[in-house]
Amino acid sequence: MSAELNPDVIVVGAGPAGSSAAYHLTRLGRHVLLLDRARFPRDKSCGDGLTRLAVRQLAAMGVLDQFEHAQPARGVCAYMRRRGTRTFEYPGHLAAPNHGLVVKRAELDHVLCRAAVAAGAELWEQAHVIRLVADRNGVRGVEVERGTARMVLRAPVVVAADGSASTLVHRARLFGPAHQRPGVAIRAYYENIEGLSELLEFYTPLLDPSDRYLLPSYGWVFPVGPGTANIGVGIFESDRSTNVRHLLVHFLELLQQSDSRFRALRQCSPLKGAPMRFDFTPDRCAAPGFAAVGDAAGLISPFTGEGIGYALESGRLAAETIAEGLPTKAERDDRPPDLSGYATRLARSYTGYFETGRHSARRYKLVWHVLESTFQNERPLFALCRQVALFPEGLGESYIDAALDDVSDFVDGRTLPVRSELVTVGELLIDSVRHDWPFLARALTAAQSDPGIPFRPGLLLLLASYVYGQDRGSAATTAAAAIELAFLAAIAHTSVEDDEQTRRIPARHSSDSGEGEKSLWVAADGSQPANWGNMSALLVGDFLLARAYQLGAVVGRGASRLLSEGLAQVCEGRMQELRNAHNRRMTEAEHLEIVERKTAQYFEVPCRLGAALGGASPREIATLGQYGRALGIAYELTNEAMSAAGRPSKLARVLNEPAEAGLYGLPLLLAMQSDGRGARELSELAAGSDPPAVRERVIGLVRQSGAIEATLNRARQYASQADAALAGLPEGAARRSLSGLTRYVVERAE
Amino acid sequence: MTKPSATGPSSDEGPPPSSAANWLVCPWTASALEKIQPVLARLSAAEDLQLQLIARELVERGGKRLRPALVFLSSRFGQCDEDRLLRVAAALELLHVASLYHDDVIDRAPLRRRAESVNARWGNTLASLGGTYLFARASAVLASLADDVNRLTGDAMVTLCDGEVQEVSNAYDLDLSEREHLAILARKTGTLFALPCRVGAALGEVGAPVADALAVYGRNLGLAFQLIDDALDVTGAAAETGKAEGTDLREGVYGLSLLRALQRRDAAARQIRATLEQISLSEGEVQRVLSLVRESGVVESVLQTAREFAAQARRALDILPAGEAKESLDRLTAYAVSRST
Repeated sequence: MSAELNPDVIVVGAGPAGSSAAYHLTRLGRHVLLLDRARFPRDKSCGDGLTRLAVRQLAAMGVLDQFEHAQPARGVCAYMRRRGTRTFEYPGHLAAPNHGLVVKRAELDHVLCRAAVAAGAELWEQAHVIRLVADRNGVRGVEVERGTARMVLRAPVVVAADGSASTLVHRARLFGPAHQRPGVAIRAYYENIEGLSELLEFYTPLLDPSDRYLLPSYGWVFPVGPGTANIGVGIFESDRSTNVRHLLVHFLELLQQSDSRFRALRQCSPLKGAPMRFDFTPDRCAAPGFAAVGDAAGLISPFTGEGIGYALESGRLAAETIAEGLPTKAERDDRPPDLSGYATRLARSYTGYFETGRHSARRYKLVWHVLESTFQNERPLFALCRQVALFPEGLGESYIDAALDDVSDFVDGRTLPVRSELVTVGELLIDSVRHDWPFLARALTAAQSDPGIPFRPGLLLLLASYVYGQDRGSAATTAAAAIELAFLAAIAHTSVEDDEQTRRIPARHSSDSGEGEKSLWVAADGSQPANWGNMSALLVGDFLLARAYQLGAVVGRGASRLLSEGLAQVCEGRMQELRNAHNRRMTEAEHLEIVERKTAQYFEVPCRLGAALGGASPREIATLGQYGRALGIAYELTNEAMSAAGRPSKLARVLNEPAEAGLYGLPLLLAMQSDGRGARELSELAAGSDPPAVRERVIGLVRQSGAIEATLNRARQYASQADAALAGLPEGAARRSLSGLTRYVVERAE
Repeated sequence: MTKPSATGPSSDEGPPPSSAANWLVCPWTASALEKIQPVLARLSAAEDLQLQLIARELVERGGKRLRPALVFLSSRFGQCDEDRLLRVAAALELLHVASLYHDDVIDRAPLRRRAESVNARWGNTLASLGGTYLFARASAVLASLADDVNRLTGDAMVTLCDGEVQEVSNAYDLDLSEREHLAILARKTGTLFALPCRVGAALGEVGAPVADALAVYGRNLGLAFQLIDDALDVTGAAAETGKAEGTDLREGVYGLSLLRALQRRDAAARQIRATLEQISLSEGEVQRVLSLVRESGVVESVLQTAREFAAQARRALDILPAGEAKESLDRLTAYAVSRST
């Protein structure tokens, strides 16, 4: 033992989480002692899959170049029993590195450990931590066994990076009695596999060898190199009766029977298993003088088993918190540092990624049911659920901002504090949902980088409130959150579908439902499944509406009334729209009436509400309401024109109205009713389904008829109307911004 | 997804068989209840006639109008003009009906109030829309009345949705504690009994002790109704609700009877557990679980708990001044548990 041994931090466990913590701490100027009971290099049971998050962390640690030879991963391919296949790939617009990797843990961990040492951490291998040293005030150090020697090592902070089987977190009494059984995973390497892609393949759920019980579980096939894959199974909660080895064998049998790629596969390594914990709770990751990172903190996705990225990131977050909270040696007193900032950082970083603590097991099963039964359903709520559960890293920084245009060019964001206020609105939205529907919170999380000024209902409210008043207090942001919650509720509610027997409204399912469907993945039972899709759509929608209403009530009765009356109008418009589905003879006037009621409400109500909060008179409120209404109609018409031209707006793509629902936009209506030759062909095509070839033809015919241009002209008229409505308003940044938006809605289509 | 309870036979259909049916002995309230139908019709009107047809469908089929009754009775301990009370009572009834629309879509219920459910007749999309529309109209009325009524309603709706979310989140938890289960029921069901009491008290401007007592009464009354329905679900009277038996089991929503049967940790409990741990259940398996629960004898204990909640509700009335309103509320608790055959 070094006589000068006086570490700032002792990190127990030199896997990815521990090495990351040690690396970052050392770079921040702290003296780190890194302990591990193994000698490197050493093997570790794991899927070896690194998401984009993990790869970016590797880049931040300066080691990414050491993996140039490694197998890249473009995305994920999920096989859902009885439901088929879906593929998720990293979207092109994400910043580089824009891919994942598959790297054997033996290699990965060795590289990471070396990086920590190269940065200055002191590594003790074959050092076994026997116990935590702690007193009333907190954790003080550890007792270590190394060879035959035993010693007590003291340090202001101990970081537990000792994996799912961590005894340290238990001894720090952070987690209390286990609220759920740990999971378990087992894997081996297999070679002689044909046709492996650059996708991480998941298969869920698994059947047990008697084909009777289905477990909360998944199997995986991750390509490691040419013809070689890491194949394994993971179970969410294991008990004594679970034989995970048999599960893997059964999984392999099914693969070989159903997929010719695995015909001749050969095992080329021993089986290796490990426990997995999924009970991450931010508050329980920190105590005075103690922090838990990675698997020891339960930071594993229950849907995909992914943990390396979170291990690397949590190591960094812990390091940053510790470095901030640890005084220099000279200033140090006897008190263990307060590391609660780490819990806060974790909570913020992982909003919606993980169900927290004791509810996670239950919610996992619930979300799995929704995932499974809505797997081929394209409606926005279910697409979002799939994305958050199976491929959160592909969401990029902000799901919401990706769907909205940045209107900084049209709005005076220098004079008006709308940028920061919209951030506040976003935080209110997240707070409203995070406890009950964490996956929604994930979608609402703001981008780390500057999103500009997104075009959203809350923006209109804020601008309208600035026309007449400066000092609206917090009422404006609260009201903005209320209207946006109502808007999100409407999106959730449109995810409700009719059943086959009583179908009035067509379903919204992807045409790809059979590809890759494994007929062996059929359960014995044939009873009618529970109604997960509609249930979740209604529960989420009603919940969001209730929150909207509650926030509105905080603002005041006037706000509540405006919201409720607006909602009633939206329902009227929606009814009219649904009744006119497939009505090729609907007039332009009727269509505009629907747009005015259904869509324009989300423009009119925020304008009126904002004006009211800003102290406007009833007449001024009405004027701004007219502005909002006209703007909304212009916006919707340009959306319809863009969709008809084959270039749907980002928001339209998220909201995903299917052609077979028969909810025609204005261009298609005008084209079908025109005198031109294409009109009849269009009517026939519009009545059918919508494969890509037909879509191209429809776009061409609509364009030829001049209907797109006619729609854009109509949109321009409404935009002018909106602008004209602003005539009597006081001059200023707010009015200029509202005027700017009338240009935005039209220019974006050009 | 919600259990029948306040949405089911004991609180919604009528007339019940026992003499407890004549629980209402307050003539003023009885007369007010008769005036509520046109108000309900007015509030569920719509410019779009088809929307109006759908929105009015359940309302026109009647129902026990328990929540309006609670509004009126609670207001009797203070003073409020009848017109306001009628509108509020109608609005609260519409909130309740709105939740029925959505519940029936979730549960795929073929029947409601002894006729075809709205979703069976019009499809899920239109039924959901109808429910949302009723919520919009009802909440607009409540917003127009008083700040405190508005906030009370807002908070109650959130609590209600919280309860539904919690119920669904706790789906499939065979080890759900009784305490947690009852807490969920209190939020999910008790809320829509407590709210009319609170609102009636607020409009009548009764003092805080009386208002609080009425709220406690409402909550416990709701739990009593709910647990009776729980028991009826197991004994097979659920056929009257029209919801397919086993829907709750498949959705992992376990009533108190089932939870108590599991807690006995005997051979039957083990069989129940093993069956329910499967991802999907056959019709035969559903029946087997139900009959195991019946045979375990826990249903009587659930009925007893229901009676205890009814007794708690009665005790909450102690501080209220005697009169027809108090008498009616008292008798209502007896009515609530009168279906426990």
